Amino acid sequence: MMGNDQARPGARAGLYGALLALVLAITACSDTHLLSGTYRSVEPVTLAQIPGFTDVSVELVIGHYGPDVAGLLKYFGNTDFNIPPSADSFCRCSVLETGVWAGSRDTLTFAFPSPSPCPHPEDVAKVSVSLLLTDSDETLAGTLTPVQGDSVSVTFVRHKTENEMVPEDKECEAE
Amino acid sequence: MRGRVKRIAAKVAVLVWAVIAVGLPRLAVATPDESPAFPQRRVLVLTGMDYRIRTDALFWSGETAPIPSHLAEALAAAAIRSLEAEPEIRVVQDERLGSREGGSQRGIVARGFLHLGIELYRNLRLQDAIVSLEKGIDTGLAEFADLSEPTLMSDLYLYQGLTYLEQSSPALAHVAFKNMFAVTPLRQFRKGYFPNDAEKAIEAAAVDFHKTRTAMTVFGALERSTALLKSMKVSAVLAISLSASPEGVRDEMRVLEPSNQGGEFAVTFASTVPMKDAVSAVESVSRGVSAWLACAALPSKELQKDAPPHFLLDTTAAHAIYVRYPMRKPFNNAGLGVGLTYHIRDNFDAFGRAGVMTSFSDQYGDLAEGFTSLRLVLGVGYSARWSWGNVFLHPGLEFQYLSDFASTSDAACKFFGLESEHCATSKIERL
Repeated sequence: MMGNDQARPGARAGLYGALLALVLAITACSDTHLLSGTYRSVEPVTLAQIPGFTDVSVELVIGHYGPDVAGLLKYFGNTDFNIPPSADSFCRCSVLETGVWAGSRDTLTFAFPSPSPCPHPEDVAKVSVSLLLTDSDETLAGTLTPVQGDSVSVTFVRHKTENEMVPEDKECEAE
Repeated sequence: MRGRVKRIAAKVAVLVWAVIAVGLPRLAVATPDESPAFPQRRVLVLTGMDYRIRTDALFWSGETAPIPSHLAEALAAAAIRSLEAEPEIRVVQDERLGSREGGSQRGIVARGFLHLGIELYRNLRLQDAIVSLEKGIDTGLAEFADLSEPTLMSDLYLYQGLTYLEQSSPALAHVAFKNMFAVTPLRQFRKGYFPNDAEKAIEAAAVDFHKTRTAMTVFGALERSTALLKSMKVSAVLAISLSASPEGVRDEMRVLEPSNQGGEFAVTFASTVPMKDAVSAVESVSRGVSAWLACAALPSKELQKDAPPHFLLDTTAAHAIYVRYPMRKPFNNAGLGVGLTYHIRDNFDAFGRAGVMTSFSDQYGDLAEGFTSLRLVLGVGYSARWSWGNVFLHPGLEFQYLSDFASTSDAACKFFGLESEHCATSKIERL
């Protein structure tokens, strides 16, 4: 069975390549990593129920894996995102918990432990976050809701895409 | 050092595997006596047969018998000349059945039975005569004496018919006389040599044969013709004949050879042309031969079996998706392979094949580490070829190295890494 097999190797390789591309296209989907990247709050955020959470600039570092989302929240004392919060016992970052992406509603929900006091006690209060992806996938807008507290509106704008992220973005120094 | 040392386990699987593949059918036509230097196809040309029986002139009177027409032989000679012009054809004439190909002993036994049968017939030992003549006929047919010694066979049938007449079996005599005309259609007899009732029976058989003869008569039973082709080591037999009908004289040409459907012998070419005169008949025979040669399976037209190269290097691109997997979505694998085959004989080879495949991330990124497999196969291959395709059997040993396989559906493990403090070991599934 060699004759025809050797006749048009180029055409055969092209056929296999096209089949491979088709399979990859079918089984892969870029929407599953749509949120991955970093986002920064447009305005400083104040959560009155949390001590020290006054005029804090928040940076979201998100890893998006289909329906699941993981990541960090980093806190800064200025809008240039280069000075830590000034309050005592205020964590510089928190790990994002129970992140869920509801693709059908373009909604991201997660929670994070209160950054104050730091380090966290075992019964640390949680803050619930619900954000809607808008504006050509560049803006996350929604609310932060501390337990037994009032919701605060917040808007995040994409700062880095997934490809622009560096390993340092995923580092979190609790203190 | 952060995390634990990555564990690498080599899993070597030794498998005996067999692959049966069906290839494209390859036309194979037998060409006996094929010489590698200049292959020729052997074609047997039978002596031309003239079936223009004149039933009103079966019996002659006078000093000498009338000279029969030799036009049919002339047409067969014309066919031979046309065939001999084709360098890929080697003509075999049926005269050689007795003289060259089959040996000089052909027909001796049948002739002995004939002489014995005649003697018994004259002694009115009719039943013994019939037995002897039938044995002579069977022996003669088995040796194709009807082609090489038609007069002998004609005498056997003649005396068989005469004996049946003496036995008051006119029906059997009629059959015998018809068979006589089949091998010597232009045979004539001196008037008064036989009794009157015998002459009438011969004349009736001649009329019957003239009216009922078909073009296939020259070949007789197909099985016997096939045996003739094999015994003569020819792959085709060509027959020329003349026949008469109310519309006029026709020259007929038939070719028997293996058909393309399964190699069974069959009449693959037939032409019947009204004859105007001898010259036009020769031309029509020549055209008929050319028409058959145009479509005939000559050695140069046949598919040549490619001699396989001693070494064959091939490369492979592969893609795979596992049917079962611990993640929520399937993951793609792609790889390359290289193989080397050494053909020891036409249908026997030794081969080695190596390949590597690695994974792509699945849709949700559950595959935590890249999955790589290395594969080495060593074995021998057998192949068998039939008209409907080729079958390959490749037994061998297969060695595989599989890298670690780790998956998780925990987003923190994916984001921070498997070694991170945010990723619990229990969240990782390893195989």
